[in-house]
Amino acid sequence: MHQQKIKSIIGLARLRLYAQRVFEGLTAGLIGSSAVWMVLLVLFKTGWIPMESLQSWSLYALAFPVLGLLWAVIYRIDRSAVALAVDESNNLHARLTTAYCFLEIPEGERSEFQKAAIREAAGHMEGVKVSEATPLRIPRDTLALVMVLTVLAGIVLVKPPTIHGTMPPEEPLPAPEAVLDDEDLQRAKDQWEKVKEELAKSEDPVAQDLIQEMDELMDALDKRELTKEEFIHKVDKVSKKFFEEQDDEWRTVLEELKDSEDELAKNKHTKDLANALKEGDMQKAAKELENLAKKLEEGKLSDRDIEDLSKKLEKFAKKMGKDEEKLNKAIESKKKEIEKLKQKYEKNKDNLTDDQKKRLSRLERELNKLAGAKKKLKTSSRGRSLKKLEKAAKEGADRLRETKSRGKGATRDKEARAESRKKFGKAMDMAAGEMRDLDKKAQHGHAMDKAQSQANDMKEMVRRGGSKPNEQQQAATDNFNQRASGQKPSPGQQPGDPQQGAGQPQAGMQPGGQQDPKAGQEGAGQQPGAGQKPGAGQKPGAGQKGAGQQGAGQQPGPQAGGQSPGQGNKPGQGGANATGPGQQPGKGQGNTNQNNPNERGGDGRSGGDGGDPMGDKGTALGDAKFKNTKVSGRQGDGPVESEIIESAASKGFASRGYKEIHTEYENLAEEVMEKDQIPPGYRYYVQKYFHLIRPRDAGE
Amino acid sequence: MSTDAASRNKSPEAIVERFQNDMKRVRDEIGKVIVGQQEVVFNVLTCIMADGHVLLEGVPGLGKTVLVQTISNVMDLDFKRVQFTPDLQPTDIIGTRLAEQDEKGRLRFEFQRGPIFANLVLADEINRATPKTQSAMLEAMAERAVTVGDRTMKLDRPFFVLATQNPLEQEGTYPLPEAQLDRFLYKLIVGFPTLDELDTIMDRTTKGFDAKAEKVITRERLLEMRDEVRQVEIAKPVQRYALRILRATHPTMEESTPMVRQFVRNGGSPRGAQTILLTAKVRAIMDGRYHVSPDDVRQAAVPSLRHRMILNFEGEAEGIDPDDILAEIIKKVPAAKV
Repeated sequence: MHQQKIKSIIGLARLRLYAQRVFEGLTAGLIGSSAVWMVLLVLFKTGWIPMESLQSWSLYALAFPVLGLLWAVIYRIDRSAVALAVDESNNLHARLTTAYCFLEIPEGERSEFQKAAIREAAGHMEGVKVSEATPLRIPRDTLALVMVLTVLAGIVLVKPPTIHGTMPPEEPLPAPEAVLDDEDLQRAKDQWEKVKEELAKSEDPVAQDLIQEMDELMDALDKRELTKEEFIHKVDKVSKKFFEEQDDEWRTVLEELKDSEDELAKNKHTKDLANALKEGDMQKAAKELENLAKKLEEGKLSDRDIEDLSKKLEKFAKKMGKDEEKLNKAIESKKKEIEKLKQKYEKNKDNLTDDQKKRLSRLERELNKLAGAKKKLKTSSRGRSLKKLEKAAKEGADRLRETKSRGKGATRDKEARAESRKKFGKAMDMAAGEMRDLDKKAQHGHAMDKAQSQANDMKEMVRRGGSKPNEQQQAATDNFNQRASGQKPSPGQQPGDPQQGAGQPQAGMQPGGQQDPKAGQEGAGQQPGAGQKPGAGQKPGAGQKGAGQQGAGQQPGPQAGGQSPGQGNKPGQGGANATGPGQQPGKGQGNTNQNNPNERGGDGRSGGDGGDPMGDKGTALGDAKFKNTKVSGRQGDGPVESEIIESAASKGFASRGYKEIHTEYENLAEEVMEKDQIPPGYRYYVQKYFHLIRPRDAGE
Repeated sequence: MSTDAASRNKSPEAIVERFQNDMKRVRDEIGKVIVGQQEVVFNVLTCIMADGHVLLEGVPGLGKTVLVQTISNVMDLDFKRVQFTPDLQPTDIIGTRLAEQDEKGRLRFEFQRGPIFANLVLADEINRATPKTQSAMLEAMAERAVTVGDRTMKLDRPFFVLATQNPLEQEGTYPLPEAQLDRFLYKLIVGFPTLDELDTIMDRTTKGFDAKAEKVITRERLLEMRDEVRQVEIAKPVQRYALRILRATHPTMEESTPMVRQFVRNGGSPRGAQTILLTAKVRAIMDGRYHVSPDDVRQAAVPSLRHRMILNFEGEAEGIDPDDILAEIIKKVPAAKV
């Protein structure tokens, strides 16, 4: 009785709370929907979206009120909290809450005070006003909803202006910066023309497609229609389309033919065929096969020749099919092994241990794998080519045997012999046809390889060559070009300039005169004849062959300095003595590659290893690691200029043209790059180098 | 007394009714001597029923000693007063062992009990004693036992300490540390009497009027009443409300109010919530209810928590009253969260 009374009050209050929440949720949802409708209407009226979109999106916008309703219904309202709210609003001193909480306790477990509290609460339930605790109010967001609906109505009613202003004329976009400089572009074009020629020979439609796409790409590159990134992306796309899924079976077949030629080389009639196969010249091989067939048909081969030829061709055919044979053997062996195991486990078939089961399943898996490989070999184009060639070779061998056997009764059956020769000839022709097909595929493959290499080169060229060189790099390139073309370098770009192969002028000297152990070993390279002519200072061979030139740079020091032996007399390193008051210990010092004493010394002007600038140390080496090496040079002043010219004359002047040498070496470099796995980045530099040192016409 | 009558007497209704009557009689009797200060009297009685101690803060001369003395008379309890001074020693409170000569002339040590051995102890101006003495007193309050040498002696039940402290910062005072303040159930502020109250006090004290309170309840009845208080029930949502108020005193808790976050360094300890609930039960039964209401919690919260909140520097500098912070908490933390 008490229970019902108390619970009904709480239930009613809860229901009112839910109703309030539903109103709140709906209002919030309607605000959301109205906002969306507002946007949609504006978009529709300004012509951004069609009527269909307006209708469909308007329907979707109805999801907001639905979500609001869901929120209201799903949200959990705690009954005891509702009871407390009723208590607070009716000044019940938590009687309802306490009673409700105690009603949750099983009746037998309630204490006397709990029972008394329930009784007392029930007595106070008369006249409880639930509406005071849970009043049904106007939703909080009503005002916002009204405002949004007003705006929405305004948008519905207001007609958009019918006259639209004209759009300003579109400004042409600036042409993208040149992806390649003119020289690189020309080089890329030249290379592509060569590759195109080869591709054009191939009748494969893929090659034609490739030519078309690459031509378009080159054209776009030429017209500067592409940015660097776009170009690289397009090249990647072309590579993916044409080069990634190339049929490379012809390579394997060619390799196998090469490997199998040794059997044919043993027979005088098939020797040339073997050579052609060895060289990979399939046209020649086909021709040789046709010749052989002709000889046989014309009866130019003796019985003995025919017998030998038959054996060799059979062996050749077997070698060609060795992969399949191996697979067959492996499959047979696996089958036997499985059979053996099954027999072994027959007695205890149902109670196999885990290890035994594993072993069986492993073998079966391996068998399946081998069967799969065999199937693949049969279905692949390589497999089909091999089969055809093998068949042709076997048929040739069979015909030869047939001819031989009939040869014994040749006088009796000339026609039969002629017939068998004819059949053999056909088999040989078939083989020749296969060879020609293979040759075509190989040609196409090679052309595609070159095209791929070209595409990669171009990509790399663009990636690396696109950026403009800075002033220093440009000066270095100009200088190199001038020297390469036999001109004198312009002032300020003298060989031996610290920028030209020389190291950092600061290298070797730490502030405060501290010796860096590495100092003087890096940078500071002096070009021959740079700054100091041979014979002027220390000449090559005069005491320290390959040693660095002693540099200038003596400056008055603040105090008398001690002796600074510098880097020692290591080959390739000069020494620097600084004694006496007022001398700055540590002078410029030539450097060279320590690993190679034959290399020339460095520029003495830059790297100086110094002593203590204060001059209060006997030696300014500090902790620098150095090694003294005695160099036994030739005594004397060294050869003078005339002697050098004379010795050069005795060796002989250049007798071949530069153009010829350049072409020869460039081809050699290309060959090396093709054969070896040269990373594209390096390929670019090699090609660029040869391009830069190319022989030019006078006007160029 | 028949069995029926006994069980009737043990019914909640009877317990509550008897409790209410006894308390009314006690208050009326105290009221004969103490003029005004009804809230202080009520709160002190609440603490006695909740088996806790009270810290009274107020200027001297407001009738604190008389109040304690009156309560002891009304409840038939022993009463001792200790005036705390800087030279007071722990032994002055607890007691000490003295050498005494027996009949045979032999000397032997006898333990001389200190003033702590009483039912009601008035620790006057507790913040004037040194921390050592304070802690001796407070240890006895917590343990309800004292240890001298190797002997531990239980204090008599009921044991109730009413400590006073002067609110003004004075020379030679040792403020009670927070841990020791936490041992007091309530901290009550004794306000200055109103004009009418002062008038009555003057009449009573200057005209030869000698009011004396009589014994109303026995010591045993007091202990029984304490047990009855603990039978009062509390619903979970109300208990949660008390706990939310406690959490709101901590600046890092989500329930905290802006003032708490600005001026409070540390909030109340769980002992604060225990105090709220226990004293709320006393209020409920005194009000004739079998359960605690959120109102009881609200009324119990301020005296229970005001000395348990530690203000930060800003709060101290601004002279913030913890009562204001608690008022804000009570206002902002809702009992019903629907």
